[in-house]
Amino acid sequence: MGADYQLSAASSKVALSNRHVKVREEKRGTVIFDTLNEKVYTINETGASILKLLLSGNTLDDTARILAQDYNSDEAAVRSDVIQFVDELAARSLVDKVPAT
Amino acid sequence: MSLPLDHWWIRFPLLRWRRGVSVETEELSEEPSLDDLTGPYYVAWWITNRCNLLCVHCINDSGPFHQFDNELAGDEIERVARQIVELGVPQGSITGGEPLIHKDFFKVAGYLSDNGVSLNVETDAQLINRETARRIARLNLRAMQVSVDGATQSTYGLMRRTTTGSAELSRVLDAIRMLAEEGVRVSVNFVPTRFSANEVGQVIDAVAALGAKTFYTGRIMRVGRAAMNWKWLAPTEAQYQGFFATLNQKAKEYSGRVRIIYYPYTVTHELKFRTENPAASFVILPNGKVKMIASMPFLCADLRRHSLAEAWERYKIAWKHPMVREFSEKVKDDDPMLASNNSFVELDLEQPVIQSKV
Ligand code: SF4
Repeated sequence: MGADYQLSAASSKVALSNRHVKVREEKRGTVIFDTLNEKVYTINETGASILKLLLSGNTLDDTARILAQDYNSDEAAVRSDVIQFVDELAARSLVDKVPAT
Repeated sequence: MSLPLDHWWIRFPLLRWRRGVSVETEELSEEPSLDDLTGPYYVAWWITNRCNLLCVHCINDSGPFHQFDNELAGDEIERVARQIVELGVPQGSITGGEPLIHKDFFKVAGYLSDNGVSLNVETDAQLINRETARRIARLNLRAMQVSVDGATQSTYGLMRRTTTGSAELSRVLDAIRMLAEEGVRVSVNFVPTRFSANEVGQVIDAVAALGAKTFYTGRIMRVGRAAMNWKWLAPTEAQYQGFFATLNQKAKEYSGRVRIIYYPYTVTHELKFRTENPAASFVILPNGKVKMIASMPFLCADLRRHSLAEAWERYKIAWKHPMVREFSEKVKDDDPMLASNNSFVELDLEQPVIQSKV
């Protein structure tokens, strides 16, 4: 795990895990609906920016780079945050990591 | 420096748009403020009031000759469906009456499902054959929700009436099997009555064996025809205790295989809670009127006159209407007021201001 894992994860893309997971931008943050399991999650603006970049086709690495620029932050730290966030979504079966083609 | 990710999400584990709770979480959940939302989370579309059956407990008072005389026409249905998609409603259900006998059912369901709405369809399943099951599979629904309220023909037939006799339990069970074989997620809905509550365990066993994945139930609602037949339908409290105990036991037995979800509260309890914490959902009636919640008679919009976005704004205001609050405060569990839920009352609301999406 560790560095290797992060390396492979960072070049992945992310997709919603099935057609019954829905995402909607709200006035305060973004809501993820896991309609099959009847759960609703609200993510704040930062989580919403990560998800938006990922769902528009950026790899985790690209996403980290863009956000590091936007937030004027250290890229390695941002990458680690992005991976952690995606892992949390994946653990709840909201997204799947797919290898970048 | 890393991202400002602290508290990046808040988890809401409960069922927030339908009336139900899982056996693990037996609480009603609070909704976010409706003002923070761009539209409903859930729209229940009662597409026709015509039904092949005439059930004794029907909350919508549906039946073979019960079609509203002003149900939405094809082009109006298309417009409503388009607006549901445009407003970004993430999920909905098509209900009735029996949705499968509506001539536009497959067209509407296909359109909604293909355009991002996670869709549930509620059916008595009496009209499903192999070919219908295949067509339904192509809709990619979230689930087909089938009503099964008895483990024996005598119990099922006592509740599920036709103009000439009783509906056949075997047909429903066949339909569940065919749907599951065609890859459709099947959920089962069970309404307990004085004579069916003790069969709930057998029904769960039967539908689980046929491939159902979710089982919903709760107290019978004292609305519609159920209210008229209340004296001989309503289970006793002692029966309910046994009923809920069986559900808990079955939930353990089927853990990881069938989700067993029940709502332990009465309609009155829900109404009082919802008045303070309105759900982000409403019901579209066959004639395009918008009903706030199944158990109250109040209408807050008319989709022949209002867009769905306007209906949403009116819905939010409607919860503060004095008639709604008075109804919710006065209503009691054994109140015949609940029987009047299908004697619709149009609320007089001020013209709402439409807020733009952020
Ligand atoms: S309960 Fe369902 S199947 Fe029975 S009459 Fe009402 S709508 Fe039809």
